[in-house]
Amino acid sequence: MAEKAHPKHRGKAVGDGHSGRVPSSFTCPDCQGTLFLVRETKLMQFRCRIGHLYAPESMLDAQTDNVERLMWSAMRALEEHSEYTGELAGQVKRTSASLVREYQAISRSSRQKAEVMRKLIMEEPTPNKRASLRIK
Amino acid sequence: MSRPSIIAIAGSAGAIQPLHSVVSNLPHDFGVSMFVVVHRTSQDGLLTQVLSYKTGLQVVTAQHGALIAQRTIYVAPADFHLTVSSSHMFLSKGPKVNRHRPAIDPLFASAAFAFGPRVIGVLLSGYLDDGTAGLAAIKECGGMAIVQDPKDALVPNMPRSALLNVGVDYSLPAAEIAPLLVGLTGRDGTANHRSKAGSYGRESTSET
Repeated sequence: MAEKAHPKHRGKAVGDGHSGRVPSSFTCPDCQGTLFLVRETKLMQFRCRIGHLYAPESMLDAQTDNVERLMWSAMRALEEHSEYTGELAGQVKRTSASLVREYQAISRSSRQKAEVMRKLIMEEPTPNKRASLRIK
Repeated sequence: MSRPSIIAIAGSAGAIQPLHSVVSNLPHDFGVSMFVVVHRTSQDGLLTQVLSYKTGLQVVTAQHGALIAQRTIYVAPADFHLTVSSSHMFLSKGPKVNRHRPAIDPLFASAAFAFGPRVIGVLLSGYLDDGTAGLAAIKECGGMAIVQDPKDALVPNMPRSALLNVGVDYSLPAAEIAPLLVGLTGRDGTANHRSKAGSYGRESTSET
């Protein structure tokens, strides 16, 4: 849409492989595709293969959300790991005391990591929070 | 007779109030086509209805492929990008731009390309920086860029981003935007806004 409409990109569709686009070292926070640097105006923008487009502050906002989402994912994975190894420990109670200890150690360690992760996420000073302070 | 100008006006958080102010202060015979994008997440179609209470001008939700008429305000529906050619308007489910659909930059950039110096872009209150690249495109194509004075905006980030990055022509409170638009375009929308620039509102001083 926007790229078709812009005078410097008349007739060129997103992802048509036209030369001159510069890949960045970043991935799209929405779809994980490669982001390319766009210099249609003086303002730096990023665009991915399918056409998600970001101005600088919007990119920061999207990245921040992405980091938080992935940290919650890590926390969930750790909690699940802790719960599952706890259940395994229960299942082997009658067969192997050493295996019980091993599973319980993994379960404990994962639970601790999950707790640390939750703290890290909740203490994170996000740009959004800082920005919202500027409402008069 | 010269062809009429179009106005593209857009905002995000805190933009409804200034938008009302602009729309309700336009004359009922204002001969300009106006396009409105406001970021929103819900599917509601209330914006068109609410704006129509504020003005005698025709207010409609933009339709894909429709002809652009004068004396009409077109509102981007939720979840579609709105773009324009020199004669028609288009809706699209294209990828989100600056995390939004509808987004401001696609409307501004398409208007810049289609209408060149006959576009006035107006950017109102909102977070982050959608609209900045669009205003830059409007300026590069010879159009005019107006922002709501950040001090007047509930959420000053969007106007501030534009002032930092674009040679904005006017930065002024919402209440002064409608009189400026009428002054720049004339009632029938055909006045050359270049020749009138400077006699209404106040020039941006934040331009550096």
